[in-house]
Amino acid sequence: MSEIARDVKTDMSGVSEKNNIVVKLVLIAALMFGFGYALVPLYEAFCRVTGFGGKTDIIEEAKAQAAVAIDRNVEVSFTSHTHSSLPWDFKPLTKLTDVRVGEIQEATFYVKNNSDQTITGMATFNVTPPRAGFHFKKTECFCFTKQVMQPGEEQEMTVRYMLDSELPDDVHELTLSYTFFDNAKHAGQ
Amino acid sequence: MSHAATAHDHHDDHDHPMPTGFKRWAMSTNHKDIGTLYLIFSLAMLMLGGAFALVIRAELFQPGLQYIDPHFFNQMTTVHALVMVFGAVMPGFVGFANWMLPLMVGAPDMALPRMNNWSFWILPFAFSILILSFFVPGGAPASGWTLYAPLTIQGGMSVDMAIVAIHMMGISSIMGAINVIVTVLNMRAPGMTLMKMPLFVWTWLITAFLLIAVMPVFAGAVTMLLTDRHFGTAFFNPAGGGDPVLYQHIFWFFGHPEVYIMILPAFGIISHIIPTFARKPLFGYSSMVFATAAIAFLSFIVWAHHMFTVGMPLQGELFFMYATMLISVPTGVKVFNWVTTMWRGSMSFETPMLFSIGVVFLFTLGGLSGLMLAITPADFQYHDTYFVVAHFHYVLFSGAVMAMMGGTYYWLPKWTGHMYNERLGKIHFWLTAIAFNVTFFPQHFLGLAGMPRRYADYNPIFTEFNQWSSIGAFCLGFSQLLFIYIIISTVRGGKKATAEVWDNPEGLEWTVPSPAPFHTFDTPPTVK
Amino acid sequence: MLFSQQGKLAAKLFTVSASLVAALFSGLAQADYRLNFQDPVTGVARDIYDLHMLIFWICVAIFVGVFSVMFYSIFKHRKSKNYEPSTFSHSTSVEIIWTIIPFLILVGMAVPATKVLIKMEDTTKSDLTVKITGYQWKWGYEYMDGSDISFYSTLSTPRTQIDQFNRSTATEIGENYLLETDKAMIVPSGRKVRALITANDVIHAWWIPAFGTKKDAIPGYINELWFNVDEGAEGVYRGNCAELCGKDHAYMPIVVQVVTGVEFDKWVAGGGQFDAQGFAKIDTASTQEQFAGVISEEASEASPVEKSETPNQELEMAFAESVVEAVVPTASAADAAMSIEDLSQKGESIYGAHCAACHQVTGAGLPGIFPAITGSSVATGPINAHVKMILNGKPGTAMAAFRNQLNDEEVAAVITYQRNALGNSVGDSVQAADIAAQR
Repeated sequence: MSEIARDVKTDMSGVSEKNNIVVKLVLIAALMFGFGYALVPLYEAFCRVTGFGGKTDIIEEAKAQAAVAIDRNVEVSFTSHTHSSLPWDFKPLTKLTDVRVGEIQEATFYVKNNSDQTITGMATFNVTPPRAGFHFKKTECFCFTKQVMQPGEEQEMTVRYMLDSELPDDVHELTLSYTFFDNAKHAGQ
Repeated sequence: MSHAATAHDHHDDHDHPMPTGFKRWAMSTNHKDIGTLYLIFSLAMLMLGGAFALVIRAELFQPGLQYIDPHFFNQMTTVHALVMVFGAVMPGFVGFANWMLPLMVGAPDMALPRMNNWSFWILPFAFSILILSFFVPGGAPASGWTLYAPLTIQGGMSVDMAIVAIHMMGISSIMGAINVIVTVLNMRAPGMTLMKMPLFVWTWLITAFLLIAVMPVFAGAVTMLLTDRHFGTAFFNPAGGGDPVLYQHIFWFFGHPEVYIMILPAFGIISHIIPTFARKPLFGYSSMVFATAAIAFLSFIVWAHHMFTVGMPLQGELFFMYATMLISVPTGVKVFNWVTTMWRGSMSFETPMLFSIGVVFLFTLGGLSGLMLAITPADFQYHDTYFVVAHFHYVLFSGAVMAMMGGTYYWLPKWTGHMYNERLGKIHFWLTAIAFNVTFFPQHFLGLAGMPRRYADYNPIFTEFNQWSSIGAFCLGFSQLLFIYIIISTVRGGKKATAEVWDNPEGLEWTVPSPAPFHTFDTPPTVK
Repeated sequence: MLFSQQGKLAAKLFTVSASLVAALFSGLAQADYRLNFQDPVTGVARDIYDLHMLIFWICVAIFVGVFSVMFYSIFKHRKSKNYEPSTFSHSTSVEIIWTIIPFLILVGMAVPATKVLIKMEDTTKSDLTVKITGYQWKWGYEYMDGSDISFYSTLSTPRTQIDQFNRSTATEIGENYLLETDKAMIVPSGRKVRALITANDVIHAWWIPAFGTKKDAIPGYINELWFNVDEGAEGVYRGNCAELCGKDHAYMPIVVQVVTGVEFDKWVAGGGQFDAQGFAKIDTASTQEQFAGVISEEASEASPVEKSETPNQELEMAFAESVVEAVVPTASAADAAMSIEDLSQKGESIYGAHCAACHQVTGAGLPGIFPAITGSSVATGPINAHVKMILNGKPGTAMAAFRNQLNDEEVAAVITYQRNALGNSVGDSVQAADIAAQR
C-alpha cells in the first residue's frame, strides 16, 4: 500500500470532486438497473401502441357498439394450444369466420379439465400478422383473467371482438391464437 | 501540494520496502500489481475456455456422438462463452487499463485503489461458482450464454449459480468502469486535455460508460429470470402471462453494447501499436475519437438485429437493418485510418505489429460478414448457423484477443524490463493466425450450407469442414502454450529493455524506466 | 534479412491459399460438401440468394480494395527498404470522402434489401394454412383448412447410428442422418402456404433453407411465414430446428415433402396417410401414369410396404423399421388382449421416440433434470397412477400430457414396457381398452 501515491492523488484532484463523480456514476448504474425493470412496462406500452408482437387492443362495449361497419370482409381464424403439462382440452368451436370490419363478433372455445385436480390456467394470446393486432379490439375475453377449472369440468369460453376500420388494406386474413398454461406457480400474479 | 513535494523527495523503493507474498498480491492497491493479477486471471480463463472449446471441437470432429452426450455438449458451449466473454476478454482489457491508464495519463495510480482491489478479487470467486456448477445435479448451465427464457426457467440449480456469478462479475466490471472514469476525468497530468489523451484512454473511457450503462440492465434481466424461476413472477414465463421475447430485447439491449465493450479497447491498443511501427503519427486522431463515440452511440439502437427471426413488424426490421448498416461507417473510418497510418510510413514488423496487422485484416473480414448479417432478408438464412459463429469469432478472437496478444508483446518489455524473444513471438503470431483461420474460415461455409449452431451432431455433408475446423482449433489451442512460455521466460530474464523499448514511440508510458517502477508519476509530468 | 524472408513467406502463403480457394471452388460440382446456400425453390428464397450474392461480392470488392492498398504499403513502405516515413496525420477532405462513399454503398445495399423484405412480408391471401408447433424435441403439424389432419414428426434416424461411443455396437451413418423423420410435412407446389408457428415449451425455430424461411417458434405466441414452392420443384426438402431448445436441439429435424397440387388434394382426401418412409401415401393405383414422373424416389420405393388402413389417423410410428411388425395387429388390437411381451416390444419403439429424449434410452434419466424410470415410484407403483401420469402429465414440470399424442394402444404399450424393462420387473401390463376407460 502506497500512502505516498494516495496522498499525491488526494492533493491533485481533491477528495470531494472525486467522490462527486463516483456518486454520480453509482447513481447512473442504479438507474440503469431500474431501467432494465422499466423496460417491462415500457415494452408492453410500446407493443400496445404499435401492435408490435401482435398484442390486441381492448375497447369498451359501448364504443364497439357505436362503431360503423364498413363494406370489407376479412378472414379471421382461431387456433388454440394447451401446454403439454396442462391436462386440459382446449379447442376453438369457431375455427374460421368471415368478419365484416367494424362489426362485433363472438368466438367460442371449448375447455375441459381432464384431471382429477382443480387447476388454474392462464391463456396468452396474440394476433398475426402483428400489425393487425392493434386493430383487433376485444370487449370481453376469457384471457383477461385466470380461469379455474374443477376436476372434469367443461366450459365454453367466449371472446367478443371487432376489427376497426383502420385495419391495413393488405391484411386479408388474420389469426388469433390462444395458449393455455398451467398457472399454479404464479399464484401471486 | 506540500505533501506531494516531501513525498517525492524521499520517494524510493528502499525507503518503503515492497510488500511481498500474500500481502503484496491479495491486499494490493497498486495499479500495476492489480493489472498483473487481472492479466494472469484473463490468461488462465483463456486457457480454461479454450479447453472447453476443444471438447466441443473433439465431439464435432465426426458426425455421431463419440465422446460426450448432447446435454454436456450444451454445457460446454454455454460455459465456454461465459468464461471467454466475462473471464478472458473483459478482465483482460481491465488488466491493460490498470497497467496502462495511469502510465498514459501521468497519474500515480488508479483513482480508487482499494475499490480496484475488490473489483479484482470478486472475479475468482465468481468464476469458482460458475465452474462449481458442473458438479451440481444436472450439471452446468446449458442454455447458451444468452440464457434465453424459457429454456433457463427449465434449467437446474446451475442456472441460479450462473446468475449469482453474473451478478458478481457485473459488480466487478461496474467498479472497474467507475475507477477508469474517475481516473481519466480527474487524474490526468497537467496539460493533457481530453483531445490530447492517447486513444487507448479514449476508447476505455467510452467503454467504461458503456459498461455502467448496460451491465446493470443485464443484472436486472437475470434478476427477473431468478424471480421467475423461484418467486412466482412472470416477466418472461409465458405460463404466467410473461413474454419470452421481452427477455431477448432486454438481453440484447445489454448484449450489443457488450460486443463493443469487448472490441473498443482493442481498437485503442492497435491505434498505439501501428503508429509506433509505421514510425509515423496516427492518421486522423480526432476522427478516431468521434468514430469510437459514434459506434458506442449506435450500439444502443441496433440490438434487435440479433433477433430478426422472432417475428417483428416490417418497420421494426427496416429500422434495425438500417441502424446496423450505419455502424459500418464509423468502423470503416477506423480501418481506413489505420491503413493510412501505415501508408508511406517506414514499417518494421515486430510481433506487436504483426498482431496489429492481423487484427486489422481479420477484424475487417469479420466486420464485412457482420454487414452481410445486417441485411435482414439474408439474415433469415444466416441466423443461428455457423456463419454467425464464424463472424463473431473473427471479431472477438482476431479482433479482441489478438489485439490483447499484440498489446502484451508491445508493453511486456515495459512491464518486465526484458525484451521477449522476437523469433518465438513471430512464430507464435503465425501459428495463431494460420490456426485461427483454419478453424473459423470453414465455418462460414458450414453456416451457408445450413449447419445450425449449438448442434452436438450433424449430417455427414458437413464432415469435411468440421474436420478442418477441429484440426485448426487444436493447433490454435496448443499454440497458446508457446505464448505462455514466452511470457514466463520474458518475466524471468532476457535482454534488458530500454525506457523507450521501441523506435521513438509516443506516450508518457515510455518516459518511465523499464520495468516501470512500483510507483510512477508521484510528481505529475507536464504535457505540452 | 528476416523481414524480407518473411515477405517471401507471406507471398508464398498467399499463392498457396489462393490456389487452395480456387481448387475448392472448382471442385464444388462433384464434391460431397457444400459452400453456399441450398438451391432455392421459392421466389423469396431466390431473391434472398441473389441479394446474398450481391452483398457478398460488394463486400469482397471492398475487402480487396482496402487490403490491396494495405499490402502495397506493407511491401513498399518498409524500414528494411529504407523508406523515409512521411509525417502527415490528417486530411479533412479525405476523411469526408471515406465517410460519404461507404454511406452511398450502404444505400445501394439497403435498396434491394428493403425490396426483398417487403416481398417477404406479403400478406395476400394464402391457399393453405398449417399450424406448426415445436416440442422438446419434435414438431407437430396441424392442417387448419377443415381437413383435420394433424400429426407429430419425430427423428427417425436409429439410435445405433447416433451413439458412436462404442464402435462395435454402432451402425454406419446414413445419407440423411439427422435429417429424416417418421412423418414429413406435406405441402403442394404452386400454392401459397401460410405456416403459423408456435411452441409448446421453450423457443424453437422452424427452418427450411431451400424455402428461405426461418421463424422462431415461441411458447404462448404465434408467428407466421409464407412460402410458395415452384411448380416442378416437387421433392423432399430438409431443415432443422435453429434455436437452442435444450438437450436434443440437434435431433428434431424438419422434412417437407412437396407434391403437386393434384397429389396433395388426393392426399388430403385420403385422410393424410403416410408410408413407411414417412412420406405422403397417395392412392397411386388410379393416378400412377399421371404422376409417374414427379413422385419422389423415396415415395415410390416405399410402395411395397403398404400400411393397413386404420381408422385412427393419430397412430404414431416411431421408427421406420418397426413399422412392419407393429402394423399388423392394429386393425383388431383394440379387442384382443396382448401379452406383456408383445406390448413391451411395441412399447420399446414408442419409448425411444417419445420418452428417451428426457428419461434416456436406459431409463436412468438425467439426475437433477429428468427423473429416472428405472425404480421410480410411478413405474413400479400402482398402475393406475402410471396411466394418469402418461395421459395427463405432471403440471408444472416438463412431463407432458400424452393424451393427444398417443393412442390407447400406444399408451398401453409404453406403460407395459416401462414396467417390465429398463431395469423394472413389476410383471403387470395394461390393455388398450383399460386406457380408453381411463381417458
